[in-house]
Amino acid sequence: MIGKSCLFLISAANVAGLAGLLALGAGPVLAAVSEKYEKALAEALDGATPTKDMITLKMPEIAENGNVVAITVDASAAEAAGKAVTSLQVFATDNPWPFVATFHLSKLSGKAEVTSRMRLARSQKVVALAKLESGDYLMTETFVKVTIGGCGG
Amino acid sequence: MESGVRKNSKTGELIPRDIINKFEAKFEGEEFFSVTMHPAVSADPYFAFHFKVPGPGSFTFKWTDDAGESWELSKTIAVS
Repeated sequence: MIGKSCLFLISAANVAGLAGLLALGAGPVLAAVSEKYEKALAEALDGATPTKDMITLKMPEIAENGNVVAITVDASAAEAAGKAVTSLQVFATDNPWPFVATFHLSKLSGKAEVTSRMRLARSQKVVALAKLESGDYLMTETFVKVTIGGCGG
Repeated sequence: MESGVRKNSKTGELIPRDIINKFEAKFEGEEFFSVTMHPAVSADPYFAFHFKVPGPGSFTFKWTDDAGESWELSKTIAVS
């Protein structure tokens, strides 16, 4: 499984193409955000402007293995403020594909908090978006430095 | 699993994506939590989530992959 995963990340980097390579060469890779991500986020928001409040994203500052990076999204502060959370969505801003996962919650979800593990092809910003019952969005982001991006770095 | 970007080394053709793309959790038949997954979810997906238990009952957890195959597991919970 690890072998396959490595292949994925290496080939994924190739697909991402020249833009990614240039970004790596140029140095300011820290700020690299893919066009695909910008499009995906715009689609998810559908014209709404997210509030950067009441949501936290917990990830390691440095991930040694890009294949398995722990992630916790917590929007329980919104619930404490009386706002029901209907979904939590995660985006990787510089992966070959920006979509990671969408967690659909309900009235029986005791707390709007989920934990999982994700892949990061390289050092990048990860974004979490919470959709509220009111139709509003909450957003937060964190930067994760990836020591070994899958296997190829 | 197959990410969908890996190529067949001999033919150069893309190997079609094959991942688990959906997880659903139900309590007494009612869905309370589900996840839509993309290839950026690590292999052997792991999730931790909350549930407000209204009383004793049974959970059903279902995983579905790109081929449409699914796996289900049930577990009962007692409330004392």
